[in-house]
Amino acid sequence: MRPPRLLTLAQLRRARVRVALLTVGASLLVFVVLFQQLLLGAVLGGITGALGRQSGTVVTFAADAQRSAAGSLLLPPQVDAVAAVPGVAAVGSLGITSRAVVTADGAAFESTVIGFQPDRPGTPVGVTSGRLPAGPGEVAASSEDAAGRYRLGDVVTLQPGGLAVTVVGLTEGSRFNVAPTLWVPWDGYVASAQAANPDAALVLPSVLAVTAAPGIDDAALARDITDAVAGVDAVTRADAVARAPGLGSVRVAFGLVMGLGYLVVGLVIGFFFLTMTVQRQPSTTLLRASGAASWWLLADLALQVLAITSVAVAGAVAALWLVVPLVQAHVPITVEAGPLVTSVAGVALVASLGAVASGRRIVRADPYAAVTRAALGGLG
Amino acid sequence: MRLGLRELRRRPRAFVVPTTTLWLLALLLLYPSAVLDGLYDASTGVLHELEGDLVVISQDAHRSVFRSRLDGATRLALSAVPGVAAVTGFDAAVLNARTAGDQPAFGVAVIGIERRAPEAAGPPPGQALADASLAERGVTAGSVVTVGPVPTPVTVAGTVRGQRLLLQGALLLDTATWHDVVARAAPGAGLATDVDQALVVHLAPGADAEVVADALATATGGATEALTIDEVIASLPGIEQQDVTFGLLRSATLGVAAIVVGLFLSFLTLERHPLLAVLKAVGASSTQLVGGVLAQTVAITAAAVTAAVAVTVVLTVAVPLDLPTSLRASRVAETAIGLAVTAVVGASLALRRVVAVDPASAIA
Repeated sequence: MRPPRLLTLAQLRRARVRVALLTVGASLLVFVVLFQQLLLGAVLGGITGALGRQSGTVVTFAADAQRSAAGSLLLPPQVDAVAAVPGVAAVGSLGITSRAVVTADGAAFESTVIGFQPDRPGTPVGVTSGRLPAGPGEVAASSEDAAGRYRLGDVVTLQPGGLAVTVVGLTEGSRFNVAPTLWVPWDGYVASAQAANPDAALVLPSVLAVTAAPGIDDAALARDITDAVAGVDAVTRADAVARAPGLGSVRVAFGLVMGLGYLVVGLVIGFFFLTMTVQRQPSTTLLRASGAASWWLLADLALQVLAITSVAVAGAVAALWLVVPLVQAHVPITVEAGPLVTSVAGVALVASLGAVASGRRIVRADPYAAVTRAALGGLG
Repeated sequence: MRLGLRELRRRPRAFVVPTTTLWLLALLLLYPSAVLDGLYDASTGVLHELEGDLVVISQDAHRSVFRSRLDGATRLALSAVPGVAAVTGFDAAVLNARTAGDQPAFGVAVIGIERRAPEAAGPPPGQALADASLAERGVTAGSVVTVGPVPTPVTVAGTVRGQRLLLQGALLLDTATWHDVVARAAPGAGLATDVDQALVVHLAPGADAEVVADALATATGGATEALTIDEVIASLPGIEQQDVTFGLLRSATLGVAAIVVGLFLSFLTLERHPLLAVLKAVGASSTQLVGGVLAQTVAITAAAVTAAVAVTVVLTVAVPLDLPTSLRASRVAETAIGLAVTAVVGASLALRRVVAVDPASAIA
């Protein structure tokens, strides 16, 4: 027999309203799943990405902060003590705070400001255009948040305090706390802090970035720093990013919700085709009696699932392209191929699994049942 | 309508899939909401409990209480505005804390609240009231908690409920004690004794909040901004992003519910076409049949939401999250009503077929 694609198209056309409903519903579901996948990526990458994209290979927190950079403050004696630990080649201070950034046209947005010491550990390594800031009036800003906010060469103002800075570089993958992130040399960070709060007695670093002397293992150095200096907790840069507090919970919560989404996709598509298969049972039996092989009918079913899933995915991706720019001002999501492909593969898998019940029904159709039908003269 | 419900009882298997799908969709709505509402409650309790009508912060803080600074001259100017009965200070700092022994450190929101009158309720001078959530950290009446990178002791005089800020339990201090403690505990975060982060304005009886808010800004030459407490809450980090993101997902999920219910019910209507024709032939009106379908829709939605609430409760207890969760009755009601409405809208696709059934086809 000829390939089943003509039968497939005919069947889809005959039930066009229901097929359209299923496709729109599946498309919305896939959109929910894809959006959550992208949101998860933005949240995970944006919480502590900055710590992973700086030149220090060991990150030292205040022990009480439990590896939360935002809650960490280190005192001057602790900074000196870390620098004196054997095996430490260099130490750089990183200060993390929040500021409102006001652009030249008066628009304001929330941001994280990270102060670093140029030419020391902690210098951002993710500058993809422009250059590193060199003086207190310059910043490198996250490229992911640039659209509609700033460009290279723009002068923006950090509030409170009114410190004007020029965007001289754009970074990638260097965001913190899922917010637009500006990297400013330490002098500028101190100036901003003192302008914002003249009563501040000291401007303390949040964390220390450390590089190890040649031949010293980073993990071993982190342990040595923790043991030698009271009140600090040092970890490797990779651990500072991967084991930040709250990441595990975020993954679990998102995983649960996305799992539910996949389940609903499979259930909806599966039930649709099962019901259609049951309604077409007499036709299926007749086709089998006429010589159609099971594989031919299964191929027809597979084509229908593929057609509907493909259109649903295409609709969901189109919806993403439309919606993401509208929400980017609030939630910094970017459409990336990797997470999309993973999610689409998951959708295809659950859709296929959902169609298994229909496939089993088709395979079990007894061609002999066609001749027992009363309309064909059988006894029924 | 009774016929529709009777069919549900006699042929439950026919409705398993749409009910299961609605249950999963309700779970998709309720579980993330429980997480978000838990985060919201744990981030905003202090502000919800704040007594006052307006919160004034510095204009250049761009609606962040934590970045705001208001000095004594500003307080005087605000106090002189017509309609203002009193102005009290409010300060907040999130620090790390420890109790005695080798217990791990934890975060606290150190809050400075100025009493409106000496006899008003509030933390005693020099001591703190601790939020009840800190009890799991061993903080109870009589405890001594050390806060900040420079460990500074604070004695807890008693406990309160519902006082949390940015996911941390609060230690409530009077503003004088707050200034002293924070200046010692976190040298970079201290404020001069006559400076507060925010000033809470208590309106005189009959004063119009909007009129007074405008007058407050004018009195300081535009250097301040007067916000309602809800506006202050909305400006906390993450609140707006949560609302936008999950509002979008909720809308999409409700749209799916409408389509899914319409799809399933249209299948069921197709299957029952002969039955519907017979019913019409023996005198059932379209209204009666439509009522039956709607009753089934509402019933399966109610069953789905009930099951989703039960599973959400189990998930919030059983799933090991460090995030707080809160399943509110208002959220359950909102979800139930939203799903019921969208399910009924979806069911209207099947209703068209029900109304169009020709009783003569029962004879044919």
